[in-house]
Amino acid sequence: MISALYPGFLAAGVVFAAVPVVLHLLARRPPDRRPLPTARFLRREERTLLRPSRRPSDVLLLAVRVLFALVLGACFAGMAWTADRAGTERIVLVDAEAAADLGMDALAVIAREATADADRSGVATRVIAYAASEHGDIVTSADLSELVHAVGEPMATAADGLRVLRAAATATALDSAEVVWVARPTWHQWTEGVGLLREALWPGALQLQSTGLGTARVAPDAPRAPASVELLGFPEDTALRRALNALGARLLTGEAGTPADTSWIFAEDPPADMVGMLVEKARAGTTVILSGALPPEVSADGEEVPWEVDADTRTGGDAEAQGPSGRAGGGAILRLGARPLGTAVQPEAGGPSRKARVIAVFEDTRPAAAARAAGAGCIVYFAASLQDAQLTREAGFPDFVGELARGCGSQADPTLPLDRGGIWALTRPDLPRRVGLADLDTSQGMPLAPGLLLLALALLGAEVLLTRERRG
Amino acid sequence: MNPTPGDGPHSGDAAELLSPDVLERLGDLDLIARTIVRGFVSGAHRSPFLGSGDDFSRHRSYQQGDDVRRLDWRLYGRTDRLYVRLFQEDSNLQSFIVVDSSASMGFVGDGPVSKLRYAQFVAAALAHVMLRTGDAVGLASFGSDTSFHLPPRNRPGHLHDVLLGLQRLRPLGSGSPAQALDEVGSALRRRGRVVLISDCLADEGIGPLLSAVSRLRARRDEVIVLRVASRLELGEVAGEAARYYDPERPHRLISAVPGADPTFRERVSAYYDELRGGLEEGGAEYAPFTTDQPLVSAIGGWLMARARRERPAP
Repeated sequence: MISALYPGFLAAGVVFAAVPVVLHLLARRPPDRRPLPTARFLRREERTLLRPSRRPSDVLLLAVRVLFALVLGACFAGMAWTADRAGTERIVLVDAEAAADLGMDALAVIAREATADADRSGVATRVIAYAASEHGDIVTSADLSELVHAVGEPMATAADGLRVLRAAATATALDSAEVVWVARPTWHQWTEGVGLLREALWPGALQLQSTGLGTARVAPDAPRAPASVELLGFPEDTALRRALNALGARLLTGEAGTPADTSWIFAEDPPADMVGMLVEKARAGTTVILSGALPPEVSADGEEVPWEVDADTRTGGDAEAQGPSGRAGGGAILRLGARPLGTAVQPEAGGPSRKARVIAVFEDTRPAAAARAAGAGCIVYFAASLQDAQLTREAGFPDFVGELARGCGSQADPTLPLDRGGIWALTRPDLPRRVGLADLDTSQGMPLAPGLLLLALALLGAEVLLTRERRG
Repeated sequence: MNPTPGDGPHSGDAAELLSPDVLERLGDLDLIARTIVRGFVSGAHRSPFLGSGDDFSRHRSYQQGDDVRRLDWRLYGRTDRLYVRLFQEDSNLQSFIVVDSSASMGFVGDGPVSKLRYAQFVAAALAHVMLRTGDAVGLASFGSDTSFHLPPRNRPGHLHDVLLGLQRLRPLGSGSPAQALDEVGSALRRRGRVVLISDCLADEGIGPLLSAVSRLRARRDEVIVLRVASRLELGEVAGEAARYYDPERPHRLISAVPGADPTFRERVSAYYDELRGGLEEGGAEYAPFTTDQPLVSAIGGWLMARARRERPAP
């Protein structure tokens, strides 16, 4: 299949090719001189002087010129040839670290089980193992025994596996593929932004074959999967919604009331009575994440809210003139062990309450977010808007949202099993199992420009020779 | 009645395959002449050039093609060998082959060879036949001027000289066939035969040519005009649009489309018809040839028709 990167040049080539055709048609040359002994008997026909003479060499020259124009246009159009795709394969994507825990025999059993139905249906199967090298590069191999020796620190992440999968799948001439992912789903698989990258890298489901830990051995203080999330005070199309989707959360509309099993509730600029209701929810075991402006009476009413608002600073005016508790400044948000988020996030007034735990700070060291346990649940406050454009455009925004939601718990241990939401976000069972590979392949195919350029040069040479012969 | 080219004794048989381009590939003019003559003499039974004079001259050994009525049966009875009787006219006839070598004869047109080359073939074949029947053959040509290459002779090796003279001809200049015939007529010391091989195209028209023929006929010379032309110049093949010129007058260009002008062919035909009529009226013989005709059938056909015409069956 031939494609063009810049089809406009093809059209330009066609227009350019019309020029010699038009000139050829317009050219008026006197007919040939020919001897004829009986020329005295001819009747003079002056109209023949106006008639263009058609010589075979002229037609050949015209063809060469037209072809030259078309080839030159095609040369600049970035023509490329890509093989036609046909067939389906099943890819067994093996995390080598996880496979090393299992051993080759167990892996073979898993691969055989994973491909059993594929073999019956005649679908080809390919095993691709991946790992991270000592230098942090991704290495792949079809021979797992070789790859295990190359494994070192750091461990390969799910994003690494997705990148390997995409590269391997698009390198074939097949039409579609489905994937069985053999891995050990720990929190290490979860990297910053993987929720957003997941679908972009592989827009299909991964059929997970866990190598052991799974979700059965969830530690008591491990992050829990966000069973359901409710958003209050956010518009329908918000970046927070997409971030939560990336985390694997199930979003509720909120119109039918808040179910009892709601895990997280996000509320932006909550009024005072709503804060009271949310505190009650938190005491019942829900994690409540407040953001934006807090009503001034919240500090007096609820000691469980992890933020105190100085009423004097909320009346407006110059922040520096309003005393040391003013919230002028802000900027990037710093988190422990993570990259800064945003560059000019506008902070809200106030500061953490006495028993609150600061979980994020601005780059000027002022607290940006605080959390405090409330009964069986937790209340988190983020001193800025979760709809701040500077913040939501960051790749780490979904991860940051997850950190806010886990504000009262400990940081996730990378060696602990990934929670159910994380597994859902990585495997995405809602996406189709079989993925079309033609749309994934963004390579340009085999470029035809060098060959076309050589052809154009050959045609140019032929044109020069023919023109010289015609004049001579 | 003039023979139609191609209706000779061998039309339609293998001799037809000896087309001018095939002969041209033979290269040697002697070989070409022998090939042509062998082609039409092998099937002929009468020699085309034997005269009918009354005065006995001498005997000659019988050759294939000789008229059996000329066999001397008495001598056969005495010697048991066949001889034919030659008469005064037969043995002493002086012939001149006059070849047009003007620039227009270099025209190839649609034929396989040029008109001059075709004329060389015809002249070589005639010389071969005439020398073989005892005639003295001379060679002249006219291009810019009339050139006498060989006087009429009949001796061993003369055919080679004739062929050599023909081979040296090159198309050049613009000559007048009438003037050439006059000069050749002056060179003939007694009654003879003049064979003109030409395209008969002259600036002055056919009048002077007919006058020159009349003058020769007045001397009782035999005059044979063999016209050589290509079908393209006759208008029988459609010519394309071009600026045409007469090779003898290259500076005069005529923009024309011969193939789209039906009157062109008519005018050329009228010219040659007038020539034919004038020649026949004046007692000369006229035979038209085109350069795409196979030579064996063309020459052989004409010669046999000539023989039949001059010696009607008893």
